[in-house]
Amino acid sequence: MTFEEVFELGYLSKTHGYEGALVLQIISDNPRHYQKTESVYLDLHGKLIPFFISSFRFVSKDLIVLRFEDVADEKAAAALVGRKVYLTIDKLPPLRKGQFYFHDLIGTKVHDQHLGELGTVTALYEPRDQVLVAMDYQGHEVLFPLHDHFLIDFDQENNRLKVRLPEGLLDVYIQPESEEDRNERLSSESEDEHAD
Amino acid sequence: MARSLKKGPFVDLHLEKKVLAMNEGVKKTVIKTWSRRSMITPDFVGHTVAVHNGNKFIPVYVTENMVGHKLGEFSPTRNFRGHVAKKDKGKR
Repeated sequence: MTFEEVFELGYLSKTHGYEGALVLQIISDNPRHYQKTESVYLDLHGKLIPFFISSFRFVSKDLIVLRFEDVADEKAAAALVGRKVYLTIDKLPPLRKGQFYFHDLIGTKVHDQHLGELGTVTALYEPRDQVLVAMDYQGHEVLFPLHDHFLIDFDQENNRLKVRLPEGLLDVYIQPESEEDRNERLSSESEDEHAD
Repeated sequence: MARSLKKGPFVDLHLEKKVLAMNEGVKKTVIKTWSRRSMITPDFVGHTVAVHNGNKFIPVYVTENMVGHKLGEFSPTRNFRGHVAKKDKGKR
């Protein structure tokens, strides 16, 4: 089993009790979908090792207390704390029409409604409160927020992401620094130094 | 101690001017800024601000729930790396 064939279900956040139970923090929009899971994969030193679940119960919306077969005491459970938990891709819930997973965007071509074909999606980042798409455009990494305001359509069959990028976004990454920008940057840096 | 309410939120003057000018006009373009310390006011909502993180510009599409926070909070300076893992989250 390789990392290409699995998705991240969550991570084991802590032990629970003295008999080898663990708390699984699920990262999902619909954690209840996984309540009949019988086995999971754990990332142990870069390898995916299958673990069979002997008991499984929800304690809150996205927290589960579970026990694995062959993990019978607190010491054995503590060794698994912090490990990421994976399931095979086929366990992902089916999507409704028009829906897609963020990870499906990697490698798709970005098409702007005014500028035409721009580049290919190379990565996605999740800083606070937004998802950023990184695109390779003329050798530069251009970022844009994946927000409904900019997203028109994702055509999965043709591997094409249709967007309306905000005006001037490409210039931020492509154009050399103007005199006005330089002055603003220098004044900002000097004010920061005074603040220190 | 919190900032005095009498003073109002702090926004760098050059940035405030750009936002207000854009609100008066029709054309909306990306605003480039190094001013991470400026607070997001309701005037910023709907604009895209490219906030410098010391290395590159991070575009921030300002929404209503960002009001009251500083621009720098949305432009991380460290650990800005790594792909989004395959997850059952974030479907659209």
